[in-house]
Parts: sequence; C-alpha cells; structure tokens
Amino acid sequence: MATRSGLEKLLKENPPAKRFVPYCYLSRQADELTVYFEGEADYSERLSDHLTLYRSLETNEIIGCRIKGIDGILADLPNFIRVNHDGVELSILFFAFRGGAEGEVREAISDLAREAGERKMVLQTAL
Amino acid sequence: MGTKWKVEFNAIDPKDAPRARWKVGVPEWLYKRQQIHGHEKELARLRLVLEVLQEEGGTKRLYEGWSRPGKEDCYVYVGRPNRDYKSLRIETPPPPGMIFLIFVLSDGTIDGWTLRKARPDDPNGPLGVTGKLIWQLDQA
Repeated sequence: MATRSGLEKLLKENPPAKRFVPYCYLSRQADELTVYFEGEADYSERLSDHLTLYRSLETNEIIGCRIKGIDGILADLPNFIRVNHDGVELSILFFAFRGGAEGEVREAISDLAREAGERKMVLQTAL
Repeated sequence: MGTKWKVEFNAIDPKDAPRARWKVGVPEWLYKRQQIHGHEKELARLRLVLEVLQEEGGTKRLYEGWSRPGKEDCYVYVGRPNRDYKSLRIETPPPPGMIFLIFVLSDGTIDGWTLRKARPDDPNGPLGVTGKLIWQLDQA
C-alpha cells in the first residue's frame, strides 16, 4: 500500500523526462486508445460513448483524447490501408473512427486528425 | 513496492463497500509511458489518486460500469481533492466545479485518472459517468 512518503520517494527516484513529448498508446485490456498532444494540466469531457476529449484547464483547447472500443477499428484497418513497419498513422485512425460520427463529435475528430497529422504521430501496434 | 503494480493503493472494495478494502494499482507500463514522455502533471496527480483512494473521506462515490458494453465490471472512484498539480512542484487550487475520477479495471488495475466537470445540481456527480452508483459517502 502506498504511503505519502513512499509515493514521494517513487516520484523522486522515477522522475518524468524534462520535456513533454506527444504520445499515443493502446490499452488492449481496456480497449482504448489514448492520445496526448500537450502535457499541460487538463480535464476530460466525455463527448460520446466512444470519445472522451482532454482539454487544457487554462485555454479549454483540445490537447488529447481517449477513444474507446478501438479494437474493431484496428482489426479492420489492414483491409483498407497499407500499414508500414512504423505502425499506423494516427490521423488515418481518426478518420476511420469519424465514419459514423455526427455534429460535435465529428468536428472534434476532424480537429484531432488534423493535429495528429501535423505532428506526424504514429501508433505502434502489432496488427 | 513488491507487487505486480508500480504503485499500489488500498481502496474501498466495490464488492463490500465501505467495510472492506482491496488492492488497486498503477501498472508499470503506464507509469513508464508517462515518465518517458515527460507527462509530469499525470505523475504529480498520483498524489490525488492516493488522497481519493486511501484517505479518510477521500472517496465520495463509487460507480460500477464505464457506460459501455463489456466494461460493466469496471469501476469509477470519485473524489474532490482540495488541490491540483500542474507539475510535481507546482500545486494549484482545485479547478472550480470539477471532481477527480479514477478508472479501475475489474482486476484492480488503474486505467487512468482525470478531472471532470461535476453536474451543476450534484457536486459529487461527474458529467458523463452513467454507471451504477454502488456507494456514496453520505450514505455510509
């Protein structure tokens, strides 16, 4: 069980890298894709059953997201696109996910895809 | 800390709340992911995870289900810490109208933690969480 002092020791001995680097990762266990473009303090906003946005507390801008139920999309991808050894371009994943979305959700996914494309983000995954 | 997790907490057991406790924890890979990418505020907010899960009165509510198919056996712990962290060294007041959520899988693995707006008419009720409320502090 963690104690306050134990947690502080852990944080001190395992400190974060000095500079934030955008990242994305897939949790197979939770069936979720998590993406962060910026590392500032944020809050989450659930837009739909499948999409949660992370927004900056300071500016309210979208700085990341979590997409749930991602396994089906990933399983289908090789049928539609060529996946190279570097992984899947994140922007492609967002566009695949945008298919059935409407209104605010569709708009948010487009923003996420644009941001991921500009940053050339790639999801490393064994498809 | 000698467990399957990088850091382990003693949280209210959803199956016998609030009398029993169970072990939940942050997996090594998740901590490492945030560490190598310099996601400092996420690691700093582990202090809030500890406060909400372990300290007296830290957990205000406990929901079962993540409001999506296949995740009915997962849990959401809700708390209202009196601070937030921008980084390991910068502590700030809690953002007004927000509460802290911790998402836990059925085996006790902590999947994530986040701030979320509370419902305007329910300061302990997070927006977008529609699972089954299985315990709340003022009913204990």
